[in-house]
Amino acid sequence: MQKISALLKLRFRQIYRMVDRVGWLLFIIFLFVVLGVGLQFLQTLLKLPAYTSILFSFVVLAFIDFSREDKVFLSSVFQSYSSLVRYIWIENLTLVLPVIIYQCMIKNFIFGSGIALATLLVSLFSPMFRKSELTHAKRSIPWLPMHTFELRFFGEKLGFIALGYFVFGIFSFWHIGVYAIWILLFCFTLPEVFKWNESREMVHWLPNFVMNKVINNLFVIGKLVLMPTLVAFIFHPDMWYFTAYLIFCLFTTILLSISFKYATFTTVFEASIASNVVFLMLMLMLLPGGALITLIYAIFQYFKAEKNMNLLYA
Amino acid sequence: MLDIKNLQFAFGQKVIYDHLNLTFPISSITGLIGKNGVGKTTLFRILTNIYRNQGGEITFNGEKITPNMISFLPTDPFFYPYMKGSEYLDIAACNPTELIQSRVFASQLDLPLDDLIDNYSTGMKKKIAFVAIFAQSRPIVILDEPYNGVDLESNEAIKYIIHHFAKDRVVVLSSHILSTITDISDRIYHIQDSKTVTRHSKDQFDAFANDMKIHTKDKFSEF
Repeated sequence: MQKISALLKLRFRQIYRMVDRVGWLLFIIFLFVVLGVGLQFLQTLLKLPAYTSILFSFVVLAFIDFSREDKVFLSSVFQSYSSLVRYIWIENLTLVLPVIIYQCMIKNFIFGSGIALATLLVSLFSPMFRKSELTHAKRSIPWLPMHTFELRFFGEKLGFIALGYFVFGIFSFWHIGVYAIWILLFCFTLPEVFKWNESREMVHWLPNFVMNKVINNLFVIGKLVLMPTLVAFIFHPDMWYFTAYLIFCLFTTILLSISFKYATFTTVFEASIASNVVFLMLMLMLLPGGALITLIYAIFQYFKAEKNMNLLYA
Repeated sequence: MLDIKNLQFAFGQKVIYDHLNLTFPISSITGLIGKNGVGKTTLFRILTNIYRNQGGEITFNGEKITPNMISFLPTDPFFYPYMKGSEYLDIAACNPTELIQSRVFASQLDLPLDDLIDNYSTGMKKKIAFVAIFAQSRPIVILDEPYNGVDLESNEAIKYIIHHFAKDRVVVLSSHILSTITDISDRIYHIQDSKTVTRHSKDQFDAFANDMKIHTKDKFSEF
């Protein structure tokens, strides 16, 4: 139990230190946006039958759990399987506790206990499922050009999850919300795609290096999202402005992610250092018109990136 | 004794181990060497249950091995972001004795425990992970390239710690620098391919090192 409490304390301290580094103002903006979007999303979820929403919670939690990178570490610090499961359960429960409390306050006990049950189920199976490296045969996506290698490698790493994601996009004919979630998921994944710095030798610098990179990725990602976007435009013509805004958000994210990567690019560190700032700027896009602020910030980062690359390579 | 019998493992069609047999006695240090990609890390991952055993038997003192018998230092240890060195040691230790031990080791290796691990260098990260892992009082210790990125002085300190705290435990370590293994090991297993493993005892180390030099010289003599 001591270890569990030490780990939980650490998790809270991590949040505190991260916010302290990023800045409290940005955190407050982030909190408001999360509350706004989260509550609206929750209301939509509550309109569904209880079993559907519980299943949805289970899928979301399982997805989060599967992408955890600390599982091997955790299994090395816990001596028994049961204490490991107990810790993961407490952590998952803490994550969804505000939702459970809120549900109990509005006397929606079925949903509240359903989510608690979902956390338990996910935790029980959590140690058994981790990102596997059980293959020497690398999955290859040859049709993605090598000049967009970040995207290609990320897709190859995700494998079937990436495929499932793109199939999910087609379901935007069902509801415009599906398309919104689909695009936003893409937006929030992009900083991770462009987080890792390539080695110095992999950079073939030419004038306007960052701009060329942005344009190349815009074309490729544009092709990737074309089908679901067309489906969204055709099936929900009355929401064309919303669809257009989402596409604008996506393209802004591409500019921001690539610019940020190269603005902080160094061969000393293997990853971009300030992805939290990028994440908060993306959250801003969820506010009406917020994408414009993000775009201005992205443009500022773009100039910084070109300058940084000129300094390193020109 | 840690006993591996008829171990089989493959990545798809690529066979890594084909009926591998190895034994690691208690109170001994065994070095594992071999070319890149021959399967040293894979073996460690099978032992620690990161990879599922595809065939064969792994036992410790006659009992089937379980992950809680093993302390494992991977090549790239995991650290939570925004975590201090002291917090890492607190989490890794299972009891106060282990915690005290790890703190003693950390002070020997000059680790700034109040700093965030994010700000540590590669070598410092390796050292703190080593300290945390080695202080655990589990009967089997597996160290995958513990000297990677570590400075010369700390290299010696790590060798000293491994050498003097291996009593009643099975210590297995891998390294690509032969001297770091021969200095402290009681035996070396040289993995050559999926089937061939040669064993060298302490009195054969010098001959083995010479063979390696001659082999390399011959290989490059054509140039």
